[in-house]
Amino acid sequence: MADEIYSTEATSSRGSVRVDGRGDLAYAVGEPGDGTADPLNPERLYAAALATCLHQSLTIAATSLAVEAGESVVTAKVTLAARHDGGYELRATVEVYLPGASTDSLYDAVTREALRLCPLVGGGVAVTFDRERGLALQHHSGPADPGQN
Amino acid sequence: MSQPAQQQSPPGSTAEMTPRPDHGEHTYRGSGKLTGKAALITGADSGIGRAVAIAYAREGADVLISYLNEHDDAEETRRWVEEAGRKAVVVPGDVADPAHCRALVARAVEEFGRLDVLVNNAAFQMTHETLEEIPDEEWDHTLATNLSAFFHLAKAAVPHLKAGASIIGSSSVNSDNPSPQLMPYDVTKAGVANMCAALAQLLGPKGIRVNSVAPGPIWTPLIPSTMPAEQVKSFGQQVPLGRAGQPAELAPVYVLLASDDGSYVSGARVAVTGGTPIL
Repeated sequence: MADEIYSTEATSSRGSVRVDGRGDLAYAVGEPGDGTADPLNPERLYAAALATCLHQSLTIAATSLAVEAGESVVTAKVTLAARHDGGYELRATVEVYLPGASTDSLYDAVTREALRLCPLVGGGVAVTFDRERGLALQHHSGPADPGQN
Repeated sequence: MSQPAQQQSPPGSTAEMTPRPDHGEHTYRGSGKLTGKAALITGADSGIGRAVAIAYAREGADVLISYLNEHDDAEETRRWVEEAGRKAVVVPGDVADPAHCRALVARAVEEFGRLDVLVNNAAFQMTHETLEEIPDEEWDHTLATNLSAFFHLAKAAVPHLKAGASIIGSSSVNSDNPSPQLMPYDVTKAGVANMCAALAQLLGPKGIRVNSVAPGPIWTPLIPSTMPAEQVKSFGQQVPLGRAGQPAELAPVYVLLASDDGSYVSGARVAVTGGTPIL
């Protein structure tokens, strides 16, 4: 059981992604390693999402044990891999720097809880394919405003 | 003992006090009364809290030192606890925040693997001559710091406390005989004594004892940081013993209430007032 807290929506079209329909949240997005001027790509966006999401979970976990988290740093390294059976997969490694944890056991306790809390770690993201909505767009010549930047 | 007129801003610092208070640094001798126990003490950086931390450590207890932001004072208390050969954990933060109270208990259990003694001691006060000059925010802040924190700490701690554990609230002689200039403080200290009496009954069946201590005028940073300089000068002279008490003179009572020596003492408000009666 889970109660919904927050929803957001990103739409990708014509080499860019626009978030919640906002012009100020539109980003040029390319493929990894395509040589164009260092754009965002899905792997970088995922690394950014993972680092920031885990960092927020770390702050919650630290605060619950009265551990100072203001100077903490979270790094996420994301690797795209090609599966031998076709298709792709993402692998990630995360690092946590938590100077407020004065002992290794306290570091372990806080990071264990942060990893448990973080929705991008472990449990993964449940993705629903909305075929009905997609087909409706198909039959009405696409979204009303297809990613206008 | 008396002290010269002096003034600080809250919460006050031990180093700026003249004379320096006695926390039992060079006098308290332990005898293993709290061996193997773990204690959480709020306001343990200075004053009564520091004296209790030093005594508990010398009696064999590990101590979590909760304090607001007086880092130098907290480090001094840590030094004494560690010198006694016990583990000290210092945690800054505001007990007026219920989440911080819960975090303190979780931290103590995480660090020590147990919790045996909770001492609710942190407090705020400020003197005012009229009702009108007490800011609404100060009323709320005083209740949150002195009284609601105790509720949140106790509620979080009880699931971890076993038979033989002890909860101690720092009350005050003002709980019995309120000083009009300290009305919000008086109310909270009466509340602490009352809550202890109720908790003693609620938790007795679990074998957990709950008591309060009612100090009289004790020479702590609270005094020069919350009273006018001239009032500081005469602080303590009105009690039968004719002087302010030292934090060190409270510690033996807190040890008794925490230890098995006090195994049948629960629901009490113990007066340490220099002779002012609480009957």
